[in-house]
Amino acid sequence: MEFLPIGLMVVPLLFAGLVWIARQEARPFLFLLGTGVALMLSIYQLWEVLQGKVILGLGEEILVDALSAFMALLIAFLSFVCAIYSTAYLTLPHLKEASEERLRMFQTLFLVLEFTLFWTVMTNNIVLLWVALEATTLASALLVSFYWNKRALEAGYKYLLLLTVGITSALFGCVLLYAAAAPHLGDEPALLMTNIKTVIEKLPKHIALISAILLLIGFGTKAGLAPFHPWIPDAHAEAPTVMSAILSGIIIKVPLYAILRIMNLFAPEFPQLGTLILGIGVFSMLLGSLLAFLQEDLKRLLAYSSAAQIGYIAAGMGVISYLGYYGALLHIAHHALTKALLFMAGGIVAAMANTRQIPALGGIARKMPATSIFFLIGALSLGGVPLFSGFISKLTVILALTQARAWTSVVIAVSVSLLTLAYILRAFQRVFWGEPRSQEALNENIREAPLPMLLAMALLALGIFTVGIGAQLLDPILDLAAKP
Amino acid sequence: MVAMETIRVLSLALILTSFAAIELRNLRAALWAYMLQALLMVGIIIAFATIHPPLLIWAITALLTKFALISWFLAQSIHQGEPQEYPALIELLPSVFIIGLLALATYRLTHIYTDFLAPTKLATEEPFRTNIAVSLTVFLIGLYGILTRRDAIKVVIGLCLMENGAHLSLVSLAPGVRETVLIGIVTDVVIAVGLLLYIINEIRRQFGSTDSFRLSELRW
Repeated sequence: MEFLPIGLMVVPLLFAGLVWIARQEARPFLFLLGTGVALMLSIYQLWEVLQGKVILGLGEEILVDALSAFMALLIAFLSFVCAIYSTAYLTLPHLKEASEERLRMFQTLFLVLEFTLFWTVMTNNIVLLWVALEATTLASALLVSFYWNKRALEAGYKYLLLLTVGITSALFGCVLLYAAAAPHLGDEPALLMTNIKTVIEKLPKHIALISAILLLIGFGTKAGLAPFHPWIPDAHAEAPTVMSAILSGIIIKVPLYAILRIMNLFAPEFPQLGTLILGIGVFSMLLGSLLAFLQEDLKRLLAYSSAAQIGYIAAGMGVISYLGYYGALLHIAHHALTKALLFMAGGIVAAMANTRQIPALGGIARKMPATSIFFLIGALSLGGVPLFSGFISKLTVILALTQARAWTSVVIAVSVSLLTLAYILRAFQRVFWGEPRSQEALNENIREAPLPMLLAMALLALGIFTVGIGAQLLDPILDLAAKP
Repeated sequence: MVAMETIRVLSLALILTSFAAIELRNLRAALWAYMLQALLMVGIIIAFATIHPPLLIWAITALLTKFALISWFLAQSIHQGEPQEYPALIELLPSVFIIGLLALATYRLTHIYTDFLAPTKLATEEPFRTNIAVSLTVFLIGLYGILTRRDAIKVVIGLCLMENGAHLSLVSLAPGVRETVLIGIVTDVVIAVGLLLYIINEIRRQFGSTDSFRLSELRW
């Protein structure tokens, strides 16, 4: 089965090359085909893993267990949906001035990004995990500043600088961990996380702790956990909408995956790390939601809300229990689907009306009824209304917190959930209902989103209901993935 | 023991060049300081290679990336704009004082308490002990540069120093690691610096300067 993970990494790269050399008309087709093939491979891989297998490749360099397969499926699904969305988005009127060169760059880099994401979740090498994670930043930097105007350049500069500096501390962490493990395992085997796990209790206590904290700081910056969140709104708001969806949906989830791997390594020996992650998570929830509540810019509001939602994921991981990990993974799936849907629906409204300011919009539902329904589905899911995915995932996280008797965290998590419902429904009401409040909102050019976009949003909405109503469908894979 | 003396001398020179790369207000001069530092780093790795021969290939990697590629990127970018950097947040004299104190304290502390940080017995012995202290000092000087400089190019030089510090620490901490892993790390660093400078060049074109304080459209 070794070909599956290797294929998953080769396919996006191969198609990136093809897209780069292909003629203009063939490119959207190749783009869709590449992400589509990757999606099929990842489904097949998940099915194999569900049979209880762990796929090893390249002499244990690559390891795909349930957790990796779950993340890979999420990456592949979201990339495919974004590819569908982008076929229409990249040719919207306001983007017409984007030259062919830049569109080609967008599609090529997007596929390279997909490769780096797959690489991150499937490598078993602790140092290459760092390399792959930094590579996701590099592959996405030019996509964040795609518009190449002042604001986009500023966002791209901050994104690249902050993440590169932040993640350097994780490099120290990786190297320290490797160096501490090498005397017990030998130079080569000490690179593999599966081997490190077997000697973790033999490592000097303080060194293991220092390296764990360095790793958590580095990956936490990349995940946008408070207080390292300031890059999140800038990058999300200035990037093209497809990119915002991928940023919120996947790019900030992959470092959380890395944190979960780190917790799997260290948690049995160092339960205090759980308290640290739990604290950071709860702080992110509070800060992110308050800032989102005060935002007037639609895309920045959604971005701050992402910072809050990853707080739930971190809190779930911080509990260090089966239920906590389970809830965290469920919340990863929920938030990937929901936030991508919200960014897609909100992004197309902002692009049509040519403004992102919530006070300037209004009455959009009359012109874009389908989009407004999709946004509402996303909003209700984000707010945690029953039948939607957010309900079940937040409930699991909160139950895990209750089980751990972290009462303060429970109270904060529940109130933040209510606050989330309040600000997202208020945003929905102000954007889509009422009377148009400005010239932009009256613009004649505002019309229903093109069909590919609606299709992409429908797929995400379907995903949300699948998780919300049929969460037990995900149980076999989550059950395997959440076991430490 | 010749190797040990060489490493000592080179290490001290390395700290001084980091100092110069951050404090010289003329960007071209700072670039020269950076290039000198990259060469010194190659020298240190070669000196270590006399103790542990496989490190020779690391020296070649460092020469190609840190000295050749990154310096070339920086030179390209610096020669497009004004040679004088935008005034830093901290005046020259206090800055020299702070950075001197910082470097001295870091060096002394890490050199004395290496046992606390060093994961292996070997790393607590000379010259690896000096090496760890030096790499952390260079790393912190770089971080200080990133935090206090206004000029985006100076910030990138700070980042390069940080990465040099991290790279140098690998000599003591992970001398047995294979080349592919090392090349992975180094490639990331080169691409990161290249991309940052690519974006900064465009910032210079559109904003009219590389002053990062002008990048203030995006607030909370």
